Amino acid sequence: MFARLFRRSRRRRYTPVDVFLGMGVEMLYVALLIGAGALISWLVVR
Amino acid sequence: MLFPLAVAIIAREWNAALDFLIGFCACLLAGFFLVLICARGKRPISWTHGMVVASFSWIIGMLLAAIPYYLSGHYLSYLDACFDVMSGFTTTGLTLIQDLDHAGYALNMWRHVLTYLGGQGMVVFALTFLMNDAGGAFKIYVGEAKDEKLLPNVRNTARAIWFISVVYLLVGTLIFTLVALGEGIKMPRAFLHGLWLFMGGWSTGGFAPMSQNILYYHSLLIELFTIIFFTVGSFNFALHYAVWSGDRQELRKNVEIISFTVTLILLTLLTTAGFMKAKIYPDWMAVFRKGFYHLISGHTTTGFMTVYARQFINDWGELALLALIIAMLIGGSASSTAGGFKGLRMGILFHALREDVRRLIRPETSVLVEKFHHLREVVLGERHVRMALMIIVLYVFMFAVGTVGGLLAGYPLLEAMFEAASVTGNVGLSAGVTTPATPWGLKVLYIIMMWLARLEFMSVFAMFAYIAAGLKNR
Repeated sequence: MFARLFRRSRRRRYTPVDVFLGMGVEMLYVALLIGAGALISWLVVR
Repeated sequence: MLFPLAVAIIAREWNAALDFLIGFCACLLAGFFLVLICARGKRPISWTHGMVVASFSWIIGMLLAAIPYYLSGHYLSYLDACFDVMSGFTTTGLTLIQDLDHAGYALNMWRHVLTYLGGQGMVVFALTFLMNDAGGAFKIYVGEAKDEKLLPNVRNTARAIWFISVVYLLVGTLIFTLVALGEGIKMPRAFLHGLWLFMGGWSTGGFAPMSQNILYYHSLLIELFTIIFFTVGSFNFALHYAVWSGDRQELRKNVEIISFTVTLILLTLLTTAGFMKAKIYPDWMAVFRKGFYHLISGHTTTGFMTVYARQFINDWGELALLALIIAMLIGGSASSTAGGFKGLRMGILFHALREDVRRLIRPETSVLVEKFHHLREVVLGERHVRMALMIIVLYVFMFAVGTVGGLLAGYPLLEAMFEAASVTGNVGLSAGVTTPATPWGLKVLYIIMMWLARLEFMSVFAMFAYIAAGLKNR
């Protein structure tokens, strides 16, 4: 059952692990944008 | 309408339940008559038909969906109700609702369901759940300003879009509910606010359950999570699909993401410089929570606000406002819930400019191939540049028309420009022009602008050309 989390089928190109990692990567990218915004705000105001 | 009807029954909002029942019956009647008038046996759907169906269905949908709004008593006129429906469908987020803070659960659910559905696209919704026959479906799908095929079959593409949205709906609602509970909001309001905040954010619609929008919560956590979900919601659905299918490098290579990142950082610098010039916010945290928040909210065309509308004009200063106007016009990604003329077109223009500069400095006999990465390597051609320029020119022209409309209605230039940019980009940030007291002519203009911008002009032009051709042939 655990192996099904990683197995791709012909019908679906993504596994549950792919979805989880994909969401994580997307949210991480936005977190980096937020960090950049905060850094710019701090640098300009300082 | 059955969903908010169910909510009304569970919450014992009997007046609202009656409003939605009437609206539902009106939809059934309208659908019945449309089938009677239009169903003439099986005919192949051409590109023109697809665009006409896509654009016309938004008008019919607006007129029908406005019925429960108008019956609720929260709108001064049926026009105001239609405005809010079009604002929801196009994920703009400007609102004319009266006394939103005392609106019932059912009405608020309808507002947010409209924007969530509008973000996916009503055609996508129909393809996923209602249509059996996929013949001609792709032409209707493209008519709604989506041209990315995630999968070979357009019906499976629509289902994949819904799968992505529903997975994020579950995760996002859970996160917002927990944050709302942490901020002291009790159940079931915490769950409902969580659901609605996610719907308003993911669809980049900008509707919130309270009249103060995100300012109501005074919560840094809610602001941060709304940034995460509305920014992710502004991504191309094909990008989501690629990343979720294992191609996580796409996030780094995609021209839309690169374009968005570059323009966001440049405009953040401009905005913070504007704030320093205007000397309005005392520290970097205020600059970040008010400045960066609204900039990214405008750039993703969401429209969530943590200031009062008039503060943009009274406090921000012209430089910061200019940066925000530019961000609103550029917008988010193509084939997403976002508006604006899209980062993809900015990226294409940049590559076209780079190609021309390289051609100038290279030997005449050298062969130059300029490529950009959008889900795959694409060779830049004249067709790409022409389409990008045409759409940008149309958006800028519409922005100019909206500005002139605001000026004719008696609003000052900066406010007219700000509101026109917000409407053109389907953003929803307001400088205070969009209120129930706005002249009806300006409201009608804004409705048309929101509709044109969301469908990226072509379907609407095709619809009018089709009508004109039909009248001419009579």
